[in-house]
Amino acid sequence: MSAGPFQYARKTSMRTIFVLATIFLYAPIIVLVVFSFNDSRRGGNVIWRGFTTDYYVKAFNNASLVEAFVNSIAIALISTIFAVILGAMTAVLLWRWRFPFKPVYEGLVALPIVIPEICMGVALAAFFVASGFTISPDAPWPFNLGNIIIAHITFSFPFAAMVIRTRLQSFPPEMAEAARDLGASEYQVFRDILIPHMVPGLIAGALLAFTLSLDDFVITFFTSGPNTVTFPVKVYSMVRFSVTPEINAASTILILMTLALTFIAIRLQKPSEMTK
Amino acid sequence: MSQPIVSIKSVSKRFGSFVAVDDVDLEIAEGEFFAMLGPSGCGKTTLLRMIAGFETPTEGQVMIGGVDMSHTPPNRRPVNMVFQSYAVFPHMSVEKNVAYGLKMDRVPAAEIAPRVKEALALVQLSQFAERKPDQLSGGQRQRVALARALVKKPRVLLLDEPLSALDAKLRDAMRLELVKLQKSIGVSFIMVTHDQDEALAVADRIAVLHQGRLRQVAKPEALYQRPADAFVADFIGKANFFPALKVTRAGAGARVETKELPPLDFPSAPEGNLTLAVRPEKIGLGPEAEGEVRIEAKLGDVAFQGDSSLVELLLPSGRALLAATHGKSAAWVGAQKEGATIPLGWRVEDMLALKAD
Amino acid sequence: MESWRRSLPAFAAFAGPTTLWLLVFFLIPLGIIWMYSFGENVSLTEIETTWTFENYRRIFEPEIATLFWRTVKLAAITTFFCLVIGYPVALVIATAEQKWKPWLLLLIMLPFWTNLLIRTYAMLNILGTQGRVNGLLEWGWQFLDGGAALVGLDGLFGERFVPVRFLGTELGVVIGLVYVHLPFAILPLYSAMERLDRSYLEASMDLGGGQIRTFFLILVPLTSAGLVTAAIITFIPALGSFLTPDLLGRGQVDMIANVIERQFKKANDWPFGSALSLFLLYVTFIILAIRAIVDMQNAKGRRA
Repeated sequence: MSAGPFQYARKTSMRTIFVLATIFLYAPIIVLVVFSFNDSRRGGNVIWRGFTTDYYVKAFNNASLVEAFVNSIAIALISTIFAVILGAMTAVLLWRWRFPFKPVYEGLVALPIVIPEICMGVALAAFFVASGFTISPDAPWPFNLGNIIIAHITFSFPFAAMVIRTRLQSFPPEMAEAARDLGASEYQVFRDILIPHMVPGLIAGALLAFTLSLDDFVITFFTSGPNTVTFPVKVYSMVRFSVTPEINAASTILILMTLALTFIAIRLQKPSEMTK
Repeated sequence: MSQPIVSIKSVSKRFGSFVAVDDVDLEIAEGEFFAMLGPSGCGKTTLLRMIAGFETPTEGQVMIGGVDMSHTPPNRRPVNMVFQSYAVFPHMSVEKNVAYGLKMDRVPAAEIAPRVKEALALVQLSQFAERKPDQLSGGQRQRVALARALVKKPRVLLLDEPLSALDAKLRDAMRLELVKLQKSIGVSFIMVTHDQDEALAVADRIAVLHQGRLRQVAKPEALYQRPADAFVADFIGKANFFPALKVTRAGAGARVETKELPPLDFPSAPEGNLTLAVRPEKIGLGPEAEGEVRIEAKLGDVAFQGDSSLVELLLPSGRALLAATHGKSAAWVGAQKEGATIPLGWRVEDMLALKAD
Repeated sequence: MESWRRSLPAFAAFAGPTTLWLLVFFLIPLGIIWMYSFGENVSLTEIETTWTFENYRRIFEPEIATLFWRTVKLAAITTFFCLVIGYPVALVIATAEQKWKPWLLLLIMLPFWTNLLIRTYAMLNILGTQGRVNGLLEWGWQFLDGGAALVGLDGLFGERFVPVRFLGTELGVVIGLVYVHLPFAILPLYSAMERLDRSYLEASMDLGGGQIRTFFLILVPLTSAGLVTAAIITFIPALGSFLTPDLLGRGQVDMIANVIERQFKKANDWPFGSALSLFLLYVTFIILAIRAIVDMQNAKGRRA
C-alpha cells in the first residue's frame, strides 16, 4: 500500500512528534536508571564517575527501606484480593440486575475513580481518627497495615469492577441458558460457566488493583502512621531530604517490578483475546 | 396419533404490549421430526424457548410427556436444546462439554465416561474428545452441541436455527445428517428455521407461523400442494397471485372474478376475501399452453437454470407472472424474442382459491 | 438483565458487601469531612461542627483565591499541552499498521504504569540547574555561540550560558504535570480515532479538501468527543495534583492540594482543610456535570 493521505503514521512531521514524545516520556526514567549505577556520592545525577552497584547493596542494607518495600508488597497483595472480590461482586450486580436507583448506584461506584486523590486521602484520614477505627501500629504485622489496606481496597475496587464488568458484557447469554438446559442450577451456572468466563477480567482487574496499590502515594501518605510506611512514602521522605543514588537504585527495582507485571499482563491477556 | 410428546395448549406470550405468540395449539408426536417455520419475528423461537423453559407462557400450557411443565425451570425438563450459536463452553474440552449435563444430573462417574464416548461416536467426534472448542470448525462445534444435548437422552431435542451459522455447502450435508441421526435414535426433534427449503427437506411435519399465529401444520407436500392461505402459499415455494374482485358463492363452491383472468369456478373455497394462486411450474407456455385458463402475455426476462428456465411474463395490466419451464417448452421459450406475445395456459384444478390476508 | 425482585437473596448477597463497604469507607468519611468543613477547632484534637461558613469564606481570601487561580491555570496549561502533544501521537498509533499498534500503544503506556513518585523524582533529577536538561541546553548554547563567533557575531546569544531555573518555577511544574498526565490524554484520543470511519476522510479528500483542511475540518471535529474526554481526564487529576508541585515546585509553586495537605499535616486546621477538599470536589463535580449535560444535549440533537 502506498503512503495514502491517512497514513499519518508515515508522515515525517508526525513521526518526529511521536519520537520526541517518546523521548520525553522515557528520558527521565532512563537517566534515573543509568545513574543508579553512578559511582558518585553527592550530586550523583550530574556527572558520570564510573560504574558501581554499591547503591543497590546500600539500598538492600537499608532496613527501613526494605521494610517499606515489604509493606508495600503485602498491602498490594492483600488489598488486591479484596478489591477483586468486591469488584467482581459489583460487576455482577450491575450486569445482572435491574434495580431502583441503579444509575445513582453506578455513579456512586464510579465516584472513588473520579474524585481527587487528596480528597479521598483526607476523608479517610479524618474517618480513621474520628471513628477510632485506627488500627494500632503495634498490632502484629500485617494487621498494623490495616488502615492503609482498607484505603487501598476502597480506591481500587471500583477500577476492578469496571474492568470485570467490561468482560461480563461479552458474556453470551445463551452460554448460561445452555448450562441451564443441561440441568445446571442458577448457582452451578454461576460457578461453572460465568466465573470461568470472568477469569481474564479477574486477572486484569487484579493486575490493575495491584499496580494502583503499589503506585499510590497520596492516599497512603494520609493513612499511614510513622511506623507503617510504604515504599513510595519512604522514598518521598528520602527525596525531601536529599537526592541520592540510593533512591535511584530503589526506584530502579520498582520499575523492574512494574515491567515484570506488565509483561505478565500481556502474556495473560493474549490467549483470552484469541477466544474472544 | 398416540400420546403426543409435546402439546402446546392455547399458549400466548406477551412481552409488554407486544404479542410474540398468539393462542397457539400444537401437538408433536413421539419420534417425529417437527419444524417450526416462519419469517423472523413470527414467534417460532419464543415458542421453542417456552418448550425449553427459558420463557413462561403468559397464557396456556406447555405439556411435555403428558405433564404440565409451563412453570418448570429449564434444568428440570426432559428436553435439551442445540443453540443457534451452539453455546459450546469455551473453557471446557469437547469431552467435558458433553459430560457436563450428566454431571449436573449426578450420573455416577463410571457411567459418564461410556455415555460420553457413545455420544461422541454418534456425531463422529471420537478423535476430538480432548480438543478445546476454539480448535474446532463451526461444523464440529455444532456436533459437540448435538452430542452434549443427546447424551442426556432427552425426550425431545430442540434445535434453534441449527444450520444457519454454517456455510452453504456444509449446510446441505448437515441437513441429511440430521435426518439420518433423528431416524436412527428415534427421539423427537423440534427445529426452528426461517429457511423453507431446510424445513421441507428435513421435517416430517411443519408448522408455519406468522406474526405469532399458527397458520398451518402439515406434511411438507401438503403444505406445498394445499397451503391453508395466501401467506403460506407465498412463503412455501413460489406462487403467482390474482386477488379476487368479485366472489359469487354457490354452496361450498364459488365463482371468482379477477382483473386479469376470465371468471373461474371452484368446487370449494374458504370463507372471507379470496385470492387465486398458481405455481410457476403449472403454467404452460406456447405449444404446451393447455387447460381452461388461457391468456396472453409478453415475454420478459428469462433466467436459465440448467435443466429449466424461470420466465418472466408481463401481463397487459403491467403485472409480471413467473413461470418455470422444462425441456421442449424451455427450448421454445429460448427461441422467442423478448417482448414477443406468447400464449399461456393452465388448468383450474392446478389453481388454489385461498383466503387472502 | 432481570429485576432484582425475582432473585432477592442472590441480589442481596451481591449488593450487600459492596454497598456496605462504600457506605462505611467512602460515604461516611466524605460525610465526616463535610461536617468538619462547617466546624472549628475547639482544642488541639477536638473539632466541633458549629455550622459556620468561616472555612468556606476563607477560601475566597486573596491568598487562597490566588492559589486556586494558579491551580486552575496550571491544570489548564497542562491539559492544553497534553492535547497538543497527545493528538499527533495518538494519530500516529491509530494510523499505524495493525501489527505495530499494540506495541506503540504499550510504548506510550509503559511509563504510565511506573510509579508516579518515581516518575516525578526522575523529572526532579534532570530538571535541576545542574541536571541533564540544562546540560543539553548548555551544549546547544555552545553550538550556537560557536556558530555566531564564526560569522563574527560574538556574544549574540549572551556572554555565557545561564542555566534555566526549572525547579521552584511554574515552568518546571507544568513540565512535570505534562509528563505525568500525557498518557491519560493519549488513550481516549486514540480510541476516538480508532472508532472513526476512514471514509469520512476519503470523502473530504475526494471533494477537494487538502490534507491540512481535512485534518482541521474533518478529523478534529469528528474526534471532538475524544478531545473532550481527554481534556477532562487530564484536567481533573491535574487539578488535584499534590506530588508534582510539591517536589518540582519546591514550596514556591503550591497548588491547592499542597495547601490541603498543610492543613492536615502541619497547620492542624482540619476544618479549613476539609472545606478546601470539598471545594475541590465540587469543582470536579461541576466539570463532570457540565460534561454530562453537553453529552445529553448532543444525544438529543442526534435523535431530532
